[in-house]
Amino acid sequence: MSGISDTERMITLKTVEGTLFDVKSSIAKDIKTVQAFIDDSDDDVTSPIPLPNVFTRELSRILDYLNNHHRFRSDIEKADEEMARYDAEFAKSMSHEELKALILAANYLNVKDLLEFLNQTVADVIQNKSVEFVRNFFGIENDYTPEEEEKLRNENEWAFNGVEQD
Amino acid sequence: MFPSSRICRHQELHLPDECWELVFKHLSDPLDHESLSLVSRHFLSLTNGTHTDLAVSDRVLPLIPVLLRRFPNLTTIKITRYFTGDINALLSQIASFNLPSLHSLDLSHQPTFPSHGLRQFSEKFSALKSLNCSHARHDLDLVAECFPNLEEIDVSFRKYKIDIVSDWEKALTSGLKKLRKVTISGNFTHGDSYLLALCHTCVFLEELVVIQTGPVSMIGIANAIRKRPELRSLSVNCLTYGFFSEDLRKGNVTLEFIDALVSLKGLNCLDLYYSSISDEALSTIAEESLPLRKLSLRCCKGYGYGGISYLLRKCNNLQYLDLQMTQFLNDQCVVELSLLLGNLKFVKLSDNAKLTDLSLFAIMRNCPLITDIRMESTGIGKQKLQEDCLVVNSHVKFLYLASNTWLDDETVTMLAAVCPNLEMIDLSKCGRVSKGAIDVLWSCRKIRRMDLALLGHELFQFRFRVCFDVPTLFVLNLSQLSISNEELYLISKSCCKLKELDLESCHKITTRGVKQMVKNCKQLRTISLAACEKVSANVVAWMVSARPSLRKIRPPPRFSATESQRDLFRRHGCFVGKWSN
Repeated sequence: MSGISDTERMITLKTVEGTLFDVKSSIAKDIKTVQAFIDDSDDDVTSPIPLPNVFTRELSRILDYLNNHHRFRSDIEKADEEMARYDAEFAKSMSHEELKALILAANYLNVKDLLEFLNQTVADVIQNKSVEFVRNFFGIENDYTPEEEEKLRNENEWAFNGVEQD
Repeated sequence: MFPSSRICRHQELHLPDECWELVFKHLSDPLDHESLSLVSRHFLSLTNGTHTDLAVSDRVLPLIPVLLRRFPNLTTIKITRYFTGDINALLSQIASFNLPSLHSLDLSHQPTFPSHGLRQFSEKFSALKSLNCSHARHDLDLVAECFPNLEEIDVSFRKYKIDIVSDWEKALTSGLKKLRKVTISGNFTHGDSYLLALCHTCVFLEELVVIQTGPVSMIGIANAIRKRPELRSLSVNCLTYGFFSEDLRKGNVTLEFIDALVSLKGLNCLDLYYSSISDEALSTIAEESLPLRKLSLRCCKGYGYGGISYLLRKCNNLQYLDLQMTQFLNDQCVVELSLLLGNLKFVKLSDNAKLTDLSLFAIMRNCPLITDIRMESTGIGKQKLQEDCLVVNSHVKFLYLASNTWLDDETVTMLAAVCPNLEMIDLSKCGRVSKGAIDVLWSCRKIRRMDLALLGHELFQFRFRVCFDVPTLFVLNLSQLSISNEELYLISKSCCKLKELDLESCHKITTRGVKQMVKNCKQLRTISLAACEKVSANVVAWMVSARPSLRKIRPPPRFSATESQRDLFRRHGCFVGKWSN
């Protein structure tokens, strides 16, 4: 494998708090916003790339995730299994608030695989849950009047499910 | 994943709309969008934006203006089979709405061809890409005129035949030149058929489905596909050959056809349903190294193990294989073939009586990426495997094992142990299986759907006691099972997330049992109580009031609703009656 070597070029990223992170260029490729910045620069990027919307905590998590996934991918034999185990742990380790912050950061940085994974994590939470659960879980207030809600329920039946009589 | 204890509730998750939309796309059951739409106005507008399909039945008709305004991103509209309203008026009405993404219209099985409505519809939606007119009347010339951008058309099983040949020729001279996918049926015995004109004219044609409804002839098809070497997918359905004499069937996949077939250098997908093909023909296909990903020789005759193994050895990227009803197939063949199928994701080996557990477990062992296995009506259960031959396969998600009369608990328990990520299992009409189904619920922690209709009907009696939580299960078919109220109660406690439950002909279940069940399953959408003799018809009105999530109820015998009850059902948006799937 030629892509990953000790002499690989490093790129420095700077968070809102001013923390600097050195990132291998092979990892930076997965961070589309950063890669676009590099592609747009005429010269080699030597000074730190500022990330005005990303905090240290989130960037360090994102880099952890990407580094680990790169490592798993280099070992094809066990890749799937280990990646699944790592992902499950990764999701478990986050609080609700942290998850949200991470989604926002991954969205801004356009880290596609991670974003997919985080969205799936949220989808798993709301999947197959009642209206009340989703409202409670995300702290969303019900802004329907009872009449509106009933009307919507009635509409929904036919909207979501074209019953064919036999 | 992601236990709720770590998560602080009552804390708002303010995500940008684009993130929410991505989250909603990850929901595996689109019906979840319905309950999400009820969360708040914001969620309603988000789910409205992701809704793409609408099926119009008589009941939907009055809501059409509301729904078409509500779902601005609809892509597909289907007029359902039993729609009895005025299709012309409906199409004109749809044309008065702004639906910029609409590209697909399904008019299959409609008794009339709505020429007038379609013209108006086309003025608004001239960019329509897909039209389904199967099992319906249609006027191709008008279709060609109205929809010059059509890429996909299904005109199989045309009703009220007129001169199809001249109709196609006319339509092809005026339009339909952008077609990419065509499904067509008819009699192709004449070499100079319209099929030839179709392949000649439609330079973008990639997918062709030909259903032969007359005497089988491959010459017309051979001549036609030679004109379109860019074809990626070819399906030739010779379903009718059984009705004709042996002479017509003999060598029906002729070498002439094979010669034309192998000129399709980009062919990914080949389906030769019900044809007769020789080993020699399969070898010729093999030697041309076509990039096949999908191969179906379901119900084909004329070839043997030599031909198919040679072909599979050459097709290294095969992901989909259908060998339903293949007379020569036995365990040894499948074990050896499975070694050639390292990339396989889908396999169908149904209606092969000689196949047993050896075949099933060989597929799971040798095809590491397999997710979907269909082996219905086989001999699974006849041969037992040693436990040390078993390998866990974490890719298997769907197992269709209906009507396996030999299948027993021992094999089902083994399956449960080696398929930890199973999401769906169909064990209907497996007469000797009983508690194995409970092992599946216990071991497969992602199980979502289970079909157990007529399970264990050959056993004298068994108890179906589920005494642990199965929070993932949401579809369960228990029809024609002799389960008791008590067993149903345990199921409703354990599987409290059930959305669809079929209790048809569960003759032991009483009104009390149904009520307990409905109380516990707070998300129940659909329930069938057809032929439940001991369930009172009055339970229907009670259910609709007690369980607002219910959307479809198939009532027990002797049910008839009063006018005020009908009003109650309407207000709750619950359909009470019969349905077809």
